[in-house]
Amino acid sequence: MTDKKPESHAAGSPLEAHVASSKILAEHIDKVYTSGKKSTKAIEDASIDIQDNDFVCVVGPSGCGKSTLLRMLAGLDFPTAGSIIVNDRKVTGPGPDRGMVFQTYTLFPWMTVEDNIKFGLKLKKMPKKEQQEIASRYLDIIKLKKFAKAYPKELSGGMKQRVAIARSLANQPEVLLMDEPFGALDPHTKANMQLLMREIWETEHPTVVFITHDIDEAVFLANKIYVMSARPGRIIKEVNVYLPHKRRLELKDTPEFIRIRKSINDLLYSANQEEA
Amino acid sequence: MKKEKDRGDFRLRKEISQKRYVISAISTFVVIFAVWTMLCASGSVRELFLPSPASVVMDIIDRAADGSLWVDMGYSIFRITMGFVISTLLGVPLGILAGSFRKMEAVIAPICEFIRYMPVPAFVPLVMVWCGIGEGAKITIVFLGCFFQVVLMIADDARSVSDDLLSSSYTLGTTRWTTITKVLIPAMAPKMMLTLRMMIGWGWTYLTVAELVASSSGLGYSILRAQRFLQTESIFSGILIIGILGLITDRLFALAIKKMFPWAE
Repeated sequence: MTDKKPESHAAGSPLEAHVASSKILAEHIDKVYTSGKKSTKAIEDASIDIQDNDFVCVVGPSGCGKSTLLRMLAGLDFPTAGSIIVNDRKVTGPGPDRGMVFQTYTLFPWMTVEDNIKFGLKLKKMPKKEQQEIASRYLDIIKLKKFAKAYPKELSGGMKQRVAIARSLANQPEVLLMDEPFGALDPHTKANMQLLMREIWETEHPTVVFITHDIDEAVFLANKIYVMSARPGRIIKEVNVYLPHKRRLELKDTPEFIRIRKSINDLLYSANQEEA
Repeated sequence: MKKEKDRGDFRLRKEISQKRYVISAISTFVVIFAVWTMLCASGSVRELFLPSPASVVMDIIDRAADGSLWVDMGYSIFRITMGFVISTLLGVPLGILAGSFRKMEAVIAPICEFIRYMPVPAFVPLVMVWCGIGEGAKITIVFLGCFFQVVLMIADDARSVSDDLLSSSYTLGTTRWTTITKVLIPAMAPKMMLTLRMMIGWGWTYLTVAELVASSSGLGYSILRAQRFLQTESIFSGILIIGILGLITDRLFALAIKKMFPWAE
């Protein structure tokens, strides 16, 4: 048990020039789980291509492997076949270049909100003053300045997720991976979080991959949506969402929004029928 | 419609005020003490079987005055402290390893499970052969009683830290080593302290076993000596003092936990 062979590093060697235009490039991903003699195909031949500064959602029913796919992008899980390249490097393990926000609350409960946000910066041994500046800036963005010195147990679920987002973004990752981060929140809080997330994207332009089973959420947030079907998990469609860049909650009542939502709904419904 | 009955304090899990809690707790002690006093005062029980509360208290005062109490206490506290500290220093790191790596768990946990079912008193003769009846023997017995339990329970504490918490720390840039030192250990610390608190409680039991059979000093030995001379009140006072010391250590641990982890839920 030494520091010499860290599992978390940015990645391996830079790859050839042809992938340079994509931020995330996953090609022909298979994921098979084997337990004893039985093997289950969780993901089959999934390919995704995500550009820099894009906001991409992956929707699908539970059990379609969308979370597994995200965990593989993070390097927390590994494909059985196929390759994943993030920022021109093959993913070989988790690292600070790929920040992740989980559905469960993962703030460090022994640290104040501010120290949670600084966690990654401290690991990088960034000067204290700079850490403070970045923490303050993100506290501002998530509108939790007043809670800088509070412990996570004093926060509501929505606040905890806001801090988790700030903690990831403060680390300035190449991509932000989000695994149903608003799944456990009540509808009202959820809508506000979607609005905030879109605002953050409009001002900071992080590259985001966002997993959800909520089609409404996906259409509101994303510029591009990958639709997945279950057993085995396959990407059945790539949908570009041509809605205005600046999005407010009223957008959800517009005909165009409803049309896109319905088309994805139909897609998932017929995929489900085929399977049944 | 039938009128809802008010069950007062006996509604399931109903909260009561701190004051009423304390009063209820104290009254239990008072009732037991009163029954004890009355039994003795009525003369229906022989003093040899059940000494009066007054004679037990007098015995404690006498022993405190002639200093023998402090000497016995000193021995006992020294032994339990050493046994506990050694079990903790060795057991906690092994437990964390077993709880973090399946391979280490396979090496460490099954053997600990096996040994912990061997009754500690059965080891006393062996320990006497190996270590004589010096301080080492008593410390060894406390150690044998605590160590294997500590390893297994700390391993459980380590396993109880959520996967997502560790995963998120990886995505923030920790290595395997810093994930353990900066995330796993702080996250499990409150549970770890609870484990140790429980462990020191058992430690008192093992210490007494050791002092009853393999000692010529300490609180356990004072009980055995009292039995030889049929000084029942000294048996009572010995048991009572061990109980009180146990209670004090437990309260100190509880207080320390509260002070150390203000952030815990």
